[in-house]
Amino acid sequence: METFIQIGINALSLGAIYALLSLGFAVIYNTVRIFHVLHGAAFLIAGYATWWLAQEQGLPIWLAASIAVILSGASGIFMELAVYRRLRVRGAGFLVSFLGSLAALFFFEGLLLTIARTTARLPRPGGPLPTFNLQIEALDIDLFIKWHAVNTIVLVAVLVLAVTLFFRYTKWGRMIRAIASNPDLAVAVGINASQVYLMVFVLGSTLAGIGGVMQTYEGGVIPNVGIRLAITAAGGVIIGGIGSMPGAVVGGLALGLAQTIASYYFGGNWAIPAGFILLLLVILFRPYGLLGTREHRELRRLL
Amino acid sequence: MTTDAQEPQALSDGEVDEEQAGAVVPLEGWRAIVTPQRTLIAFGALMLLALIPFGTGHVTGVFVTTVHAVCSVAVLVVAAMQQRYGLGAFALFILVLSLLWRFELGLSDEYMAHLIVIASVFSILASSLNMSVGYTGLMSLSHAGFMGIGAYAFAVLTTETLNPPPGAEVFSLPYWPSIIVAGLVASVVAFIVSPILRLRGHFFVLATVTVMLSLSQVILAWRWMTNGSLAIREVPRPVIFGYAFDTADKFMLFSIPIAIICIIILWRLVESPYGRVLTTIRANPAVAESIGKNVGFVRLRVYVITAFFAGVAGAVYVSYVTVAAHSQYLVEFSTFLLIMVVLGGSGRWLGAVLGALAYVTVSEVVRYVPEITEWFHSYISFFPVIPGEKTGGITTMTWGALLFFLMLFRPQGIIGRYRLE
Repeated sequence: METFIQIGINALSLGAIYALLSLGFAVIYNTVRIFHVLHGAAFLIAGYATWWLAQEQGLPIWLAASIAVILSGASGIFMELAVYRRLRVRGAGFLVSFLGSLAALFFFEGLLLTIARTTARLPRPGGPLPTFNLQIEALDIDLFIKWHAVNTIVLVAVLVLAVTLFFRYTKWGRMIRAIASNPDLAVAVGINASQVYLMVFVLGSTLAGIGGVMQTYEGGVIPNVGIRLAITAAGGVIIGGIGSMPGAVVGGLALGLAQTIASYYFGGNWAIPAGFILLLLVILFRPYGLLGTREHRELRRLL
Repeated sequence: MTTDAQEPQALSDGEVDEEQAGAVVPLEGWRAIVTPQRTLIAFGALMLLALIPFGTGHVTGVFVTTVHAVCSVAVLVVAAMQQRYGLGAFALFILVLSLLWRFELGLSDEYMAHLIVIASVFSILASSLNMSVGYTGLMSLSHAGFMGIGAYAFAVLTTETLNPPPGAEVFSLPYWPSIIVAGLVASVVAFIVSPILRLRGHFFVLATVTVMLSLSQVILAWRWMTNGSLAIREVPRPVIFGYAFDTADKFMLFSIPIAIICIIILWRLVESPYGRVLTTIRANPAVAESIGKNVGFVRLRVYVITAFFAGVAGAVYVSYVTVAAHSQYLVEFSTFLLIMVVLGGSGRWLGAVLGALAYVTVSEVVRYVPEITEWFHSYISFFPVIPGEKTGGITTMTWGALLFFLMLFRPQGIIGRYRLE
C-alpha cells in the first residue's frame, strides 16, 4: 500500500511534466497538423536559459525562470516564422514538414552542444532539494515527498485548468478551436489563420518551456534529450487521443506512471522501453487513444 | 494530403518530376548511350579499381588521386552536357574533395582507407533503407536499431573474451555464418515488431522511433547478454585463407565486395517487377490491392529484408571497429541514415550510395571547421575560435541545416525522381 502510494506520487510528479509537454504538443498538433519534433527545442531553450541566467549571470531563480519561460514562448514565434511557414508556402506535405522539423531540432541541439556546456545543472548551495515526510497514523503510511514534486503537481494542475478555461471562454481560444475543427470554414468566416498559428506556437512552446524550467530546477538537462522529449510528448498525445486536450494530459500522466513503475520494478534502464511499449499497445489496440473518439476525422487518413 | 481532393494532384506531381528527370523524354544519339548514370557507374568502378594497389607509398597516392580527378571531371562533363546539374555538382564535389585530401588536409592513406570502409558500410545501410523509404514509402527511423541488433548478435556470437555469467556458454562461432546469422536475428526482430506496419503517416514514423529508442535501450539494459554500457570488446576481424584483414586498408578489400554484393542484390530487387510493385504501393496502395497484390504482406517482407541488410552491415561494421558499444546505435544515427537516403535521392537505387558517400565526405570536411576558424582568427582577431572537442556539435548542426535546406529547396534529393509528400 505504502509502496503504491509512493510510486503514485513519483509518477504524478514525472507525469505532470510529461503532461505539460503533451498539452503543448497537442495544442500545436491539433491546430496546425504537423508532427512538431521541434517542440523539444522549446524545452531545451527554457532549461538552458534558466541555467545560464541563474548560474552564469547570477540572477535570482524566480527571475531567471520567468525570463526563460518568456524566451521559450518567443522561440515559438521563431519556429513558426522561420521553419514551418517557409515549409508551408513551398507546399510541404507531412513527411517533408516532419523532416524539416527534425532537421531544425538537430540544428538547435548541435548549436547547444557547440556553444554551451553539455549539461545544464543548477548549483545547490543548500544541499539537495527540500523534502518532507508525510505520516498517516491511521493507515500506517510513511511517505517521502519532495517539495519540488508538490510544487510541480500544483503548478501543472493550475496550468491545465487555465489552458482549458482559455480554450473554452476566450475569443482567441474559440478562434483556435475553429481553425482546429474546420480550417477552410474558419478562414472563410474571416479568421486569420497565420495569426492563430503564431498564437498556437507561442502557447505550446510556453507550456513546454515551463516543463523545461521545472525539469532543469530538479535535475538539469542535456542537449540530446530534445528528440526523446518531443517523441514522449507526441506519445502522450497519441495515448490520450488525438484532438482531445484532456486526453493529452491523461496520456502524459499515463506515460509517467508506466515509466515510474518500470523503473521501480526493473531498474532505470527499462523506463524508456516501458513508456514506448505502452505507446505501441495503445496504437495497436486503441488507436484513437484513451479519451479520443473513433469518429475523429484525422484518424481516417492516418490508419 | 489533407483532403481526398489533393490525391490526384500528388500523382500528377510525380509525373512532372519524372519528365524533368529525363525518364519520359527520349534521348537521341550518343546521349542515349552515354547517360550520366552509366558514366557514373563506369567511372565509379574505375575509381574503386584504382584503390586496389592502395599502399602507403606516395606514388600510389598520386596515382589514386589522378584517377579520381580524371573520373570526376569526366562525370562532371557528361552531367553538364546533359544538364543534370545535381549529378554534376556531386562530381565537382568529389573532385574538390579528392584534391583537398591529397594536397591540403594531408590525410594518411590509412585514414582514407578507414573512410572508404565506413562509406561502404553506410552505403549498404542507406541502400537498404532506400528500399523501404524510397520505394515502398515506409518512412522508417528504426534502421540503426536493426543495425545495432545485427552488430550485437555478431559480437555475442563470435567474441570469446566477453565475460559470461557463470553457467552461460560462450558461442564463438566461425566468422562467415555469423554474418548471416546477425542479419537473420535482425530480421526476426523486425518480424516481431512488424505489427506497427499497420499504421500510416505520423503514426508509423512515431512507432518506428519508438522501436528505435526501445531497441537501443534494451541493448543497454540487457546486461548479461550485451555487457551493457561496458561494451563488447575484441570482436574478431575476418581471416580468409590465412589472410588477415586486420588493418583499415586491408579491411577495405573485404568490406567493398560485401557492399557491392549487397547493393547489387538490392538493386536487382528494386529495379524489377517486384520493385514496381513496391513503387505502386508507395504511390497508391489501393491500386496495388486492385491488381491482386497483398499490400500488408509485401510491406512486411520489405521491412524484414531491409532489416536483414541492416544486420549484415552492422556485423561488418562491428567487426571493423572491433567494439560493440550501444552509443553507436541511437535514434540520431537512424536520422543520419534517413538524411543519406533523402540527400542522395529517395527512390533511386544509386541515390542512397551517393548519399552515403556525401555523408562521409561532408562529415570529414566539417571535422576541419576548428582549424578553419583558427585560420580566420589569425587574420581577423575577433573571429571566434571553435575548440576541437566541439566537432560533434558542429557536425550535428551542419546536418540539421543541410537537411532543412534540402527539404525547403529540393525535397527529392541530388538525383531524386519522386518528391516526398
